[in-house]
Amino acid sequence: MALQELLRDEGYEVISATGREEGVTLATMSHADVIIADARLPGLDGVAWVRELSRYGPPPPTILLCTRASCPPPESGVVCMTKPIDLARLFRVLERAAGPQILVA
Amino acid sequence: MTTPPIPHELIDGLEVFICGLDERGTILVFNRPCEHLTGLARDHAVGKSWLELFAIHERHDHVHELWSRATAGRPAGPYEALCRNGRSLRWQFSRWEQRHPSIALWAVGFDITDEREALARSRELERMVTLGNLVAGLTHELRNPLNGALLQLALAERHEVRKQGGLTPTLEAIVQATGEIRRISMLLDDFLVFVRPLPINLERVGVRRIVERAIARGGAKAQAAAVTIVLEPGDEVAAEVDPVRVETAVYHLLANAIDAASELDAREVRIRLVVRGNAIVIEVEDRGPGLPSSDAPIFEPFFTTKQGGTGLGLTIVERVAAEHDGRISHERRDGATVFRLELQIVGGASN
Repeated sequence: MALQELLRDEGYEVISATGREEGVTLATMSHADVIIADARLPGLDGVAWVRELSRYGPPPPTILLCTRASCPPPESGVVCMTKPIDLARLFRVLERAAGPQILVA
Repeated sequence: MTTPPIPHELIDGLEVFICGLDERGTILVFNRPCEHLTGLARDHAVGKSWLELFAIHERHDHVHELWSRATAGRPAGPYEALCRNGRSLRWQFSRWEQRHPSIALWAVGFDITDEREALARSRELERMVTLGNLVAGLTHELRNPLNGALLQLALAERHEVRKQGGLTPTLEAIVQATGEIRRISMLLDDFLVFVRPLPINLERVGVRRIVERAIARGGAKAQAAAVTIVLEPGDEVAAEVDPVRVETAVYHLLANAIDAASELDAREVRIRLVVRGNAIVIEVEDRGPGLPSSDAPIFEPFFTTKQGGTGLGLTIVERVAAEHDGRISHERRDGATVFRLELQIVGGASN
């Protein structure tokens, strides 16, 4: 996936998950510093997924990539970015929010 | 038994068209609204054939059939026809022979032009909502592939920079393509505002104040184009409108006028408020070159004459007008183009 490659290129360590179950498992096991989640995960919409995640304890800062011009942040600590993403802005947000490890789900 | 006189003072005062006819359809009674409609004085109309006056030849059989069906207790109709002056009429025919034996038939007509127009406007609005939902769905779907393409381009850009340094033709192409995708993305943002309208929110507000806000919003654009916006002096007018929508509509009218005015020496856009009957009219005037032609489909989505225009501005204005049961019109007057946004003073909202 191009996004993961770009993030690695920026010097981040990237773990990737495909689908809801794997995402939840990795999110709770990996101690990622930031989660970047597509709002259109297979099997579940991203907003509900983030909500599910918070049942296992407070999740790390999460960036939700969505297709709506204005999508309401489901919880605090969630940043919504509209596709196509503004990479420069994404990198700025990551710089503020993150340690070196990112989970892309 | 004597025949009572025709109560002209009554039928002349009604806002319906009334004709009394004999069995062959010759006009015997012709009320004042009929005179206004046809431009024919009563004395000239009496004796003429109703069919010749109100029905085109091809439809005479249809009218005859309605006449034969009409009975005392049960009027026959409707017969809908377009008048020479452009009005639409709906006629009903009834028989009521006891009081006036010479009059076999009464033709009673209603002017349904406004009703028709309102119906057409609401159908158009309905169509736009349906279309809007479809397009909103499509717009969201488009963001995924656009995002994918943009990320791939960003990746390719990095590879190319590392491999070659300097500005290679490939790199140039990548940068161009990236710019194009950003442009599509901006278009989608504009478009979403248009297709997903928020619920209309009528408030009693000063329209002048709204216009001033729209002017403030257009200030930067006007300044960049060295165009002066003049709000003609006048009193505040209160009306029940959705202030956000009206401001947006006025802003789009202003933006167009600024673009037009920037093409010549008289760099001025004038805006004025006029109260006309139950309506408040916001007029935006520029002395630019005017529309390409009088029948250019300027209110159609994506119609634009400007480089870089999205072609949605006037579509949005038209929509705001429709949502307020108002209308948008334009004319060329003494070398100036005037767009006129007419809104009901007492809340006319159609959703």
